[in-house]
Amino acid sequence: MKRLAAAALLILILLQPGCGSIEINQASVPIGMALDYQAGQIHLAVQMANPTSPEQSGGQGPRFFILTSTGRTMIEATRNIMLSFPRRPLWSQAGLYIFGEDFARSDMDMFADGVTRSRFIRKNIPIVVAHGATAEEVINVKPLIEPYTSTAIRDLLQTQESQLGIYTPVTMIEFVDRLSAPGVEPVLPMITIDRSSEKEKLLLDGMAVFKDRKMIGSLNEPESRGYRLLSPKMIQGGLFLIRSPQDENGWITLELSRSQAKITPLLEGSQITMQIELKAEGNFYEQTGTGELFSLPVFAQLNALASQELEQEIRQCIGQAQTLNSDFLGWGQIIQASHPQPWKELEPVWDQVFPNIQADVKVDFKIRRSYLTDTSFTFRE
Amino acid sequence: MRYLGSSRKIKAKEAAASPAELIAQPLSASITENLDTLKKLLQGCSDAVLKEFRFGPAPTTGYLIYFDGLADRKEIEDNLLRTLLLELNMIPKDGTALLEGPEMFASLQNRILTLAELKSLESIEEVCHHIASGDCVILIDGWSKGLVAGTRSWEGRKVASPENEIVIFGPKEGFTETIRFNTALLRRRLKSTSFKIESMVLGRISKTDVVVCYIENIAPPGLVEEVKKRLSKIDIDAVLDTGYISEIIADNRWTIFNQMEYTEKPDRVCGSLLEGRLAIMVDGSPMVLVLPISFPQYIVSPEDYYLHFIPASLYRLLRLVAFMMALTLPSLYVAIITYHHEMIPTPLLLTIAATRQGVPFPAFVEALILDLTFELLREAGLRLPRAVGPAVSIVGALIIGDAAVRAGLVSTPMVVIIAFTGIASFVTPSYNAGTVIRIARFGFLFAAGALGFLGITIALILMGLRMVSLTSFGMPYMAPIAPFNLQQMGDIIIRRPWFKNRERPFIEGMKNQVRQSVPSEDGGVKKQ
Repeated sequence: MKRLAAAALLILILLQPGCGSIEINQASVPIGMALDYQAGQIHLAVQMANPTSPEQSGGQGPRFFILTSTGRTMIEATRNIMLSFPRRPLWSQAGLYIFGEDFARSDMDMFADGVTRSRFIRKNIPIVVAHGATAEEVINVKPLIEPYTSTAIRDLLQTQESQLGIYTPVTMIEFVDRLSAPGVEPVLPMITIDRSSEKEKLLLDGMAVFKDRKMIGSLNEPESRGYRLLSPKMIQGGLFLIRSPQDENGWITLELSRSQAKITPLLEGSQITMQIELKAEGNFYEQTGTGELFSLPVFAQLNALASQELEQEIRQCIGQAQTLNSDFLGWGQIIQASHPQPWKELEPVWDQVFPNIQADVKVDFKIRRSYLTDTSFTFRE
Repeated sequence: MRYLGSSRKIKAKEAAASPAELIAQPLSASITENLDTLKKLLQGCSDAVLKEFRFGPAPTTGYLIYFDGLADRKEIEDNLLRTLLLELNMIPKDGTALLEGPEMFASLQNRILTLAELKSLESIEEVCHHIASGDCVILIDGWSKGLVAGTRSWEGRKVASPENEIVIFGPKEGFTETIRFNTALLRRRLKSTSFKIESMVLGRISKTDVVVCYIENIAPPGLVEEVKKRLSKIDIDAVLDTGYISEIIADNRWTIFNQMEYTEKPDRVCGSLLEGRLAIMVDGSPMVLVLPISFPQYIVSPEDYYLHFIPASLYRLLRLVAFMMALTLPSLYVAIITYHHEMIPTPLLLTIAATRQGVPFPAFVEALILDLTFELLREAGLRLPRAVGPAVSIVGALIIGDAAVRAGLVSTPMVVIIAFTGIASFVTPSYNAGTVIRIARFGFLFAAGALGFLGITIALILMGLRMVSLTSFGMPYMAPIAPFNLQQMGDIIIRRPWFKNRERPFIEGMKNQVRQSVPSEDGGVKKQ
């Protein structure tokens, strides 16, 4: 009898769905989140997917719709969605966070704690800052080809990095880490709406620089390139141009195949010098104008010009960092790692120290390959 | 009431001499007395033949007793009747002289009758046993002994390739229902006197021949003793299949994990015997028991050993994957789509969400319904007459599946998952393992429906615990995974190449582990 009762109980327990179970047909799939901040309220716009089965796919109907809500905190705003929407969103599917510039320029305490605490927020997704438009407007733009804004922006960031090498994608976890780690400030890629043609489209444009929990400025294109080159990680892919040494109107397109920066701090009394050595390799891709470039002396010349160009980008980036007085290059962290004792004294006065740091930049660029031809193009005489 | 009365009458008759008493009697010298007893015992056996004949100079009465259909009538006519009644008389002096005096019985057995198998017997019980086995018994007036002639011959199934264990490579023969054919199939492959076939009779009514096969200096002697001891303890009215035996002699009886393996393939049995295992055969069943067996061996197919080792190893890995898939795929799917949505890539989630729009049941119930349907179709497919079989599979697979999806009762991904699971469950070469998978799968499904991945983990742990606690004739059921044995793992996950397969898998008590290069240890003769 006891056994029977125990068995019955077990079956009853097993038939009871446990907590945390959500049937998919009672749930909805948020794709991207846009956060704006206006008049002390957080405005949330959520891009929700319209589930379409593969059989009925085709151009018909929008693939997503936007839900908006407001709240005093971010989590409250997400819950307020439930006032108008009957299905529980699976927040873990949201693949993109967009901050409005007003949100980014106010305090990040609205964001960091909730995000790290919530198990429903993915930490490996990209974050971008909307620029020249509110985040809600950005998320309302129907992206080209891709059905959803989140995948569009994620792929945009990745392909432009490997093909152009301008902006560095930043994930949620990197951003939050940089908010809390000493000696480094966050940067985020910025996105804007290109209204030049009739059809609105998304456009990457600059990077937002943060300092002390809020956005304080931005990087332009060469500065963004410099930031990418200064990354301690090995970077691959990218494109840049130099002037031809033989034709002053000619351009030479070089492809960056790989580059690795080595940054060593040198502390001499009160003077700090960052020694930056950049080893880069690239391929000769294109030349305009005339002149035979394929000879060893010219190649040495090209290498020097390319190194100069890269150094220029790096210097611009460092200049902007020091002007904004935001250590997004992570130099503080580098010093902390190599000189832990001096860093303890430097940390409280880092704001005064950072703008005066000298940078000693050495770039060593080498052309490795020239693809299908090994001479310059010769036109018919 | 009339019936009751009549049954009482029968009881009264039996009281005079019960069959048990009758059968225990020795043969008497008087043929009429013997015949009386036999006629009482054979009352109601319409297939029994008792034929009287007279032979010799001063005609002696003899009786021929056999069961029609079991004994070879032509052989009886040619070698018994013809010899005694006709040919004996053609040899004028010597022939009849042989049938005189006290040497008559011995002469009959050794000099006159032209049959290879002739024995004398002395009790009614033996007579009954032999005629029921298809032999022919001759009783002769004046002698308290009978002669039994081996004339067993009946229509049986021919040796054919087994329908349930289909292989591409290797021998295709399968066992039949006749134990003598079966032992011959084995003996033909193992032409050694150290291959032993020990016989015993089980079943009070069925008197079934049961044989234990092993190779003398390979199988652990303790194991052979233990198996024989367990078999001899069986006291049952009939043994109609090895299944009876396997349940009774198992170490652990209350479990879904079968601790013996069935096979219909002689080559597979021989392979097992050479690894030091034992085989039990039962007359009347083509299924041969192989023991002891450990669970990981269920993914081993006999074919593996005939194929080149690289593809064979890859097939084994594939089977391992299929095994895990057949066991857990529906539960993983249910767990993921009800608890762990973050594990699904967004586009896939959207597709699943779209197909699940309007499905009235939770994913767990949906999986349960479909899985049950699948089992139903499978069982129906097994039982249905061959002509109807294809119709059912078409109706089941196409029409029900498609209609259910169109009617919105189930979602398409679930149909795909269950179909996948079904296919994967057929990959396991052992039917036993397939049964385990089919039963355990439902357990996993319940666990996943209740607790998601946590539930599946708990179920896996419970199943693992149960499996490591089992033994098969003292051999750990999860060997060589637990207790771990690297040397033997080399022949479980992958198939070790023959040129590296120097040692047999070790079974506790095994003395002779070397299978290559040292033939003297194998009981064989070393070639000079």
